[in-house]
Amino acid sequence: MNKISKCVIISVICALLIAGCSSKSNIQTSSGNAGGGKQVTLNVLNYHVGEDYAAPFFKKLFDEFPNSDLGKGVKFNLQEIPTTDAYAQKVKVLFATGDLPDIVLTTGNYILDLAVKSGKIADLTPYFDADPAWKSSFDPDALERNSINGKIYAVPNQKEIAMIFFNKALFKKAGIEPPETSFASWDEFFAACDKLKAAGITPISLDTNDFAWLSSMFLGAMVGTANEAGNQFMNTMKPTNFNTPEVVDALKNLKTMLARYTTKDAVGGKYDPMAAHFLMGEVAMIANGPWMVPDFSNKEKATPDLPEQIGVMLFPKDGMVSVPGTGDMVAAGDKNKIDAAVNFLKYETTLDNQITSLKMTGIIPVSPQAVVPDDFNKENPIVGRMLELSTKAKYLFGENQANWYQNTLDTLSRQLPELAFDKITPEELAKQLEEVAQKNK
Amino acid sequence: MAKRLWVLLFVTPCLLMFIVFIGIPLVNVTWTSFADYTTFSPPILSGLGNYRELLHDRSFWQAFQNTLLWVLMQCTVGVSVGCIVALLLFRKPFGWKFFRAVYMIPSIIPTVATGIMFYLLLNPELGIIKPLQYLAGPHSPAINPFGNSSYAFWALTLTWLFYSAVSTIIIMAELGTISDALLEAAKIDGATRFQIDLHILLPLLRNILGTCVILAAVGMITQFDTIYVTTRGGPGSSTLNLSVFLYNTATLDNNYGLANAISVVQILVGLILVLLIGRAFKLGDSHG
Repeated sequence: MNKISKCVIISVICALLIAGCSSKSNIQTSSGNAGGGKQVTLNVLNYHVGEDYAAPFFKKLFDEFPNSDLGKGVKFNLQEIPTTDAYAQKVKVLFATGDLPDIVLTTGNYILDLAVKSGKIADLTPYFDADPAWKSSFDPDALERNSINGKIYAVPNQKEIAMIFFNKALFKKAGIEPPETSFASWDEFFAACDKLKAAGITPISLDTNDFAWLSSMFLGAMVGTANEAGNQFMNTMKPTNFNTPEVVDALKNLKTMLARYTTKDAVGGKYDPMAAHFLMGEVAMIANGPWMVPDFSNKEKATPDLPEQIGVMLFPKDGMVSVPGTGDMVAAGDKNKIDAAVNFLKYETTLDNQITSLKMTGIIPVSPQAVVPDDFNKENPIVGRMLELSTKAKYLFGENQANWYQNTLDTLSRQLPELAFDKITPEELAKQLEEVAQKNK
Repeated sequence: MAKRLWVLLFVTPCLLMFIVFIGIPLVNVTWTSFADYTTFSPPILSGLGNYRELLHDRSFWQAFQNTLLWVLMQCTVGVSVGCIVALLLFRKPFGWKFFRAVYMIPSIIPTVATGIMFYLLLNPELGIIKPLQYLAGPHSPAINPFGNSSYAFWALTLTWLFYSAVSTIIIMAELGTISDALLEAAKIDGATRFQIDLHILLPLLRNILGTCVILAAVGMITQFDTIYVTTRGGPGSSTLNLSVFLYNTATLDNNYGLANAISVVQILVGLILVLLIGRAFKLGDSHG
């Protein structure tokens, strides 16, 4: 066999290998061009799947959009990725590789500044300017949160609120009269915890693993209701100044809560088993948002009589987590795809769909114009009560999972057990959080 | 000449795959470890900055120390357990096939599932540890081993240290190749079972033991999933290893340059260990 034959054979092998690797992308391209260029296929990475609280709502959106006026000619190439955490990490990798989906769904974590810096997401300001009715349906604060240098880069689709759920039966057993809106002070709150403990009831569900969601709620509330400076801190995006009296005091209180007022498995515990303690009627209070409400009537998760036992109150001193959500972004490259993606986001945020979302998922509408129907409160008394309480809150603050750098959350999560077991002081932890936050580039 | 061509033909696909899937990423990882490179910005060469940062990072040294400790334990205790089980099963005691199958089960279960299983088993409210804590007295302080830095490292070690079924299987396969005549001769000469194990079987197993130790070391250097689902490297940095530290640096700090520097260190540690173990066990040399 001569040299030419060898080269030919080797080339054929190489070509076959390359062809094998690229066959998938060819199929996708051809489906994207189906319909003589009028059809648009939007690639979406969807984490609202499986057990996710918003999975049925997003399925409905993706199913119904192509049949709507806004969605004519649009197809979805949906790729499912379960869990918010996995999705968030994947999206970051895709930002680095440049292989982003056309619509980047929000996880609540604020990455807008970095996404804009990458130059890979579309400026949506012209679309908002071209549709004043759509633009005016949003709370200006919500659009501001999704803007950088006056340009809107994301479409907010929810307002995040959170407060304290409590078990009325356990409060009654401990002889505690539930407050009208909230405990007047954190001292009153801790006095109630002592009463519950004296009655043999665990007062609060807390956790420390996986960014310590439940503990973070209380930590944020203690900082956010401490004073003006604390409130400002909790409303700051990506803070780096943790070594403040408000944060240190809140960490001291959280240490007491972890040591005295929670379950034995809270230190080192993950959200699900800790939430289960409340759902099984073993713990008196848990801090969370309306998205937890469907769990109260889920017979696989909660005791059958739980829905009747649930009460809601604001954090002490009438505090409430209230954040206009970080929105969905568009990373599509060509004009047709950007138009189609924006149309989907318009469809997602129609006033009707915001109300549907409220009914199906408990997500609070981002638009002040979305009128909650009268029968909603009867059918959803807990969320109705939350909406009522939200108008009475005096301290509004963000939550750290949305506002803080992720490495800061991770440090908090890993150091809370050390704090609970006296291996680190609140002052040292605050200093560590500050150091880690400043590491971000 | 024709033989050479066929060799070339068979090697080419593997070589291409190695270049595409290992070689190019390896080159990328190495050069970007000398760059300022974040999730949202392209790499810009910055010299040894990332390595200097690593040298001054306490978490890195904690991760490095934990990784080496786990490698050491797995290479010694882990492989020894696997070897002892193999030698016991080689004697074919009653029910040895059943035991071999049962001992293999933990290796079949995905490591993520094993991690979650141990996490729940050792939960002081839900797991088997609860009745044990009651036995110590109803008012004894509850311990969540994964939530206390005094116990977390050992709780994690417990999830993998004694399950060396892969070593057992490999060693048993090697034992099967040893000539019966050799063992018979030893018996006739009056050697006890222990003496046969110690002076005949173990020296003959040297090459395969070296392989098991290399596998154990590599397994521990790349260990990630069990730690991730149980402690994510906490409490504090008590269970942080190089893999989890690398992952956190890339996904939480968004610092790909530093993460790639960690991976270069990890690769170098792996290569050095493989070389040292190879030399210690004189891998490749014939028995003698």
